[in-house]
Amino acid sequence: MKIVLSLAACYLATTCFAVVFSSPKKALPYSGLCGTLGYAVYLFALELNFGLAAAVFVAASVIGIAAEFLARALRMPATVFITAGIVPLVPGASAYLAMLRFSQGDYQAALLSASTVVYVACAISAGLAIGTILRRR
Amino acid sequence: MIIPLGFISLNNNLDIIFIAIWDGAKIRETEEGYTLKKSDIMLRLGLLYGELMLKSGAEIYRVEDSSRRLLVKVGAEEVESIVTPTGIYLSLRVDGHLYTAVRRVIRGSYDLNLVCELNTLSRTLATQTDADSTFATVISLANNPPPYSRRLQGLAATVAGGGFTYLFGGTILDVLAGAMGAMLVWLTCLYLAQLYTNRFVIDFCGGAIAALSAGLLSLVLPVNMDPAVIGAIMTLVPGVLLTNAVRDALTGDLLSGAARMVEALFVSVAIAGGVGAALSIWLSIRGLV
Repeated sequence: MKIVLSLAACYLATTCFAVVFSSPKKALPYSGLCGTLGYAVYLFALELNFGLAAAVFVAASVIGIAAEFLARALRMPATVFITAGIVPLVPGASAYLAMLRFSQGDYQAALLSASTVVYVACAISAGLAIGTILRRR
Repeated sequence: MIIPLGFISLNNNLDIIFIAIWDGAKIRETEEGYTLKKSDIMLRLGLLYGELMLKSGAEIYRVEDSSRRLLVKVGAEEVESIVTPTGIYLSLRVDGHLYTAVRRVIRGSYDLNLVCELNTLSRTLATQTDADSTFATVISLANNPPPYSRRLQGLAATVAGGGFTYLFGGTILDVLAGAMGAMLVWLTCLYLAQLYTNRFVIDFCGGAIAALSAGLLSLVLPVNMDPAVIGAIMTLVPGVLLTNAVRDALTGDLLSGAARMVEALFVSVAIAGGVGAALSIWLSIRGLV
C-alpha cells in the first residue's frame, strides 16, 4: 500500500515537473511514466540490497532505454523524457543538505551528503549513457 | 507586406536580437539601412537557433548537432561550432569564404517544448531551403505562446513540492506544508526574476522563504521541518543541472561539464545559505519568545 502511494506521488510529482520544464503536452503522461518506472526499479533494487549507487545506476539505465524508445515512438528528442524522468533520482536534495550541514559546521554529515551527491550523479549519468549507446548501435 | 522582425520575447525578458525587415520572401535590410549578405543571415540564424536551444535546456551536443544540420540545409558548406553554457562560437563557410561570430548566452529557464520544436525543424527542413524563410520560422517558433500558463506552472510546482515531501518521508501534514512552501517559493522566485535580480539572490531568498514558511507552520501544527523544507525547495534544487554537468563531461564537453558543476555548486550554496540563515534567525527569535 505504501509503495503504491509512493509511486502515485512520484508519478504526480514527475508529471508536474514536466509542466514546470514546459515539456510538450503530448509528452506529459510519458514523462511521468518514465520517472515512475525509474523510481520503481530504484525501490526494487534497494529491496534487493543493491546499494544506493548500483540501484540508481540500474534505474537510470531503465529510464534511458525507456526514453530512447519513447523518443522513437513519439518523434521527440529523448531529453524531453530524460530531464523530467530523472527528477525523482537526482541528488538535488543531498546537494542542498550537504551545503546546509557545512554551514552548520557538521562536517561529517556534510561530507557524507556530498559524497552521495557525487556518486549518485555519476551513477545516473552512466546509466543514461547506456540508453545512448543502444541508440547509436 | 512588411513585418518588422527581430524582437523576440524570451522568459519574459524582451531581447532585441536583430532588427530587419521580412517581406515574406527575403530579409531586406537592417534598420540602419545596410543590406544583409547571405552569410550574415546564415550566421545570425545559427546564433539565434543555438541560443534558443541552449537557453531552453538542450544538451551541448544537441545544440551543436542540430545547428550544424540546420545550417547545412540552408546552404553552408562547412559548419564548426563550440557551444558552452555561457556562449556560442560559430564558424561557417559560405560561397568559399569563412565567417565567424560569437554570441554571449545568459541562462534561461527550461522550455523543453521549444527544444523539441527546434530539433524537429532541423530534421524536417528540406535541403536547399533559403536562410531567410528559415529565420522567420525560427522567430515565429520562439514567439509561440508557451504550452502552459504561468499559473498552471505554479500549480504544478505546488503539487510537485507536495509529492516530493511525501517521497522524502513526510506525513500528510508535511505534504500540505511542503506544497504550501513550494507555492510561496515559486511566487517569490517569479517576482524576483521579474526584477532582473541575480540568480544567487533569487535562490537564497527561495531557500529562506521555504524555511520560514515551514517554521511558521511548525508553530501551530506538528510539522516535520526537514521533509517540508526539502519539498518546498525541490523546484530550485540543482539536481538535473548537476546530472547534466556529469553527462556533458562524459560525452567530452569538459568545459561545459565544469561550468555547470560550478553553477550547481553555487545554486546549492545559495539555497542552503538561505535556509540556514532563516533557520538560525528563526531559532533565535523562538528562543527569545
